[in-house]
Amino acid sequence: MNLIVEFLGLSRGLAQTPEASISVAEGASYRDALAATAERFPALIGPVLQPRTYDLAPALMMNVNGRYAVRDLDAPAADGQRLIIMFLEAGG
Amino acid sequence: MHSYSGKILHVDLSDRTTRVQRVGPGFLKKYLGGVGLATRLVYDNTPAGCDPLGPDNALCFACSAFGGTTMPVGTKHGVASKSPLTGMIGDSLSGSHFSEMIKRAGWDGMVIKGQAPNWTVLFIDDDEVSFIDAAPWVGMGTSESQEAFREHMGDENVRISAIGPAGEHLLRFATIDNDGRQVGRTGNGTVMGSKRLKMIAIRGTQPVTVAHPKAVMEETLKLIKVTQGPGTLKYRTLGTPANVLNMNKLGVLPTRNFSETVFEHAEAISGETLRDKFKVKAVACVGCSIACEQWGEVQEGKYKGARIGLDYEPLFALGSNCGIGTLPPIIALVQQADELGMDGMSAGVVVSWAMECFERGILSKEDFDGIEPRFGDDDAAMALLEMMAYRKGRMGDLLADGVKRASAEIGKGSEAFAMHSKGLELPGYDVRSLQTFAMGLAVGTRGACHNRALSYELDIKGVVDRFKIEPGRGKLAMDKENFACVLDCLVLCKFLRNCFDDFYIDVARIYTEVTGIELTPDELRQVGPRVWNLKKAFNIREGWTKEMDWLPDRVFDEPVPEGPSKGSAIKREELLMEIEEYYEARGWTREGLIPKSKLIELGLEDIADQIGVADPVAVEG
Repeated sequence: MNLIVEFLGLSRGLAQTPEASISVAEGASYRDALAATAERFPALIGPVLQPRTYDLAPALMMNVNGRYAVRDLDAPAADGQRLIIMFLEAGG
Repeated sequence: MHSYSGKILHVDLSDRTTRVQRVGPGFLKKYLGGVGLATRLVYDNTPAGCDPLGPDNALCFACSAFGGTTMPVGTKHGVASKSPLTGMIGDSLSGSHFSEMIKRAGWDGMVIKGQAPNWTVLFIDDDEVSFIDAAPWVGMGTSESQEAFREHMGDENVRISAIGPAGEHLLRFATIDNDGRQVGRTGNGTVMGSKRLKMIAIRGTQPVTVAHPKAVMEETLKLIKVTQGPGTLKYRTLGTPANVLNMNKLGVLPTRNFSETVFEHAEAISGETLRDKFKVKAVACVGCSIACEQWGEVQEGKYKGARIGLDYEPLFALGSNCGIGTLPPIIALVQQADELGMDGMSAGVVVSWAMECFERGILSKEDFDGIEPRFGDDDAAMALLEMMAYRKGRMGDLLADGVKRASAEIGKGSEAFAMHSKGLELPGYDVRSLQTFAMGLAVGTRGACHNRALSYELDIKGVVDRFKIEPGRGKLAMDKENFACVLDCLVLCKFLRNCFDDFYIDVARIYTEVTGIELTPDELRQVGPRVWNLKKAFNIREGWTKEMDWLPDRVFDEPVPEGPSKGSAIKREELLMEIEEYYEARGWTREGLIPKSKLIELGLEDIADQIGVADPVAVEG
């Protein structure tokens, strides 16, 4: 299935693109999607994605379709979802 | 006792007298500093029911417990008074060399009352206080007046807080500027203007000592390392303007006076575009090792040369919320707001309300003295800022009073889209799909404030379903408020909040190492509810009623029209339920009043008789 990964802020700077289309197997989890993303954009490993586990770095989060934050990276993704890698700022 | 001096300077501008109030460690550790200490000083020195613009309103400054020490991200100060915008407690924070200089001059805080017979500069030179005729600097902008006065004194070490023309003309959301940082919200600059106080200048030459220098240095180095690490990388990368795209993607970016939540030009006004096309430098507050403030400069076009540090809130307010879709005019508008000395957040929301009134035909070109303020018109926005700052014409005079008063005067249904709570204009998050945060804004003691509520984190991070109101939110929101309140009292920047292993244990230890005052984690934890209740008590004393804890009609009656949050709206009965659950979590009555026993429990015995009511009666079911 195909997913769109959107990069904001730090992750956009590292990926050097605002978004990318990635393909993963049917039934793949969000973690699988992040692993595929890391493979394509290795600069994300470290500042954005943890090596090996592909957990998001502290303070970063993933949102699906602009609606729900992903609480469990091992939950299954669905075809066509837009996965937004973002962080939450405060103040200003 | 270290770091603290144990001295509060009282100044009466009417008769040019001063006195010193001594405060001990027991008092200081109850309120810590910043917002807590400033609020306590306001409570004690402002008579109930006073005119916020009258001489009796006490304009109170309070230092951070860590200010002037090596502790990073703690050199800030709080300011509070009775707000001329809301009539409630008006507390605000800022951080600059001025924060440090108050302490170096030997003061933990200042209480300024009275009204000077002529425009005055209050000059505090360590223990010496003098009153200087401010005539040469009246009419100058905020940074211009600070530079001119420093030049006049011939001493770069004189640090200054100044108001601009907006404060001089009593615009109700005027700021106090210090080194380009602002005491921004609720109109403390207006209170300063009402006292004919153009500037407060301080020169301090005394050291700020700490109780355990070796331990404090170790804590300092550890914190600097952490603040240079991945936990704060996000702040150093784009600063708060990163929120533009974040909020847009979630469908919560206020657009065209909060009528929409997705802005078609979000990319063009984003933190990413600011960094790539306009950024000239990143600036840190004094003693800060993060440096989040992103400075942008316009290199060409009609706004060439405009240059300012941009944060998300004024960026949204004068950008998407006014329908302005490029950064050059936004940079110029924020710079203009800062120099005129007005809160860019409130200013933007007021301008956007005026634009909507014009587009709906509620107000005409004639009402605006020939201006046609439509969404997206940066020339009109610039003109409105100037009209408000100088109260030019009927509309300038009206808008200078804030969107609550302006809409009440204009009527014709414009109150429904006057985006405020308690008179304080809303921050940059559309609450129709952030429904825990909606309640946080409604019950805020200083009005609608993201920094005091912090509960947007619960919604955005998915701790709760942001599209719903469900039981249990009251306590969650209260816990966020209490935590934010402790940070505001210490003062520590909120960007540091995830930099500790265990916040209360670590910070209580550091506080003791700095001040020599024993403070347990539990005692530190209690400061949040104590100060929050103190602020609420002040509001009750000044006439707060339950109806004030509410939001504008737009968030109930107009579902989000498009984008990821399409269809979202708040249900009145659910918000009321959520608010009452919050009151219960706070231990208040169903009407939001504070029981006497709660005030005593929090160490506020001295106001319990004045404010406290009987304990709420438990109701079954």
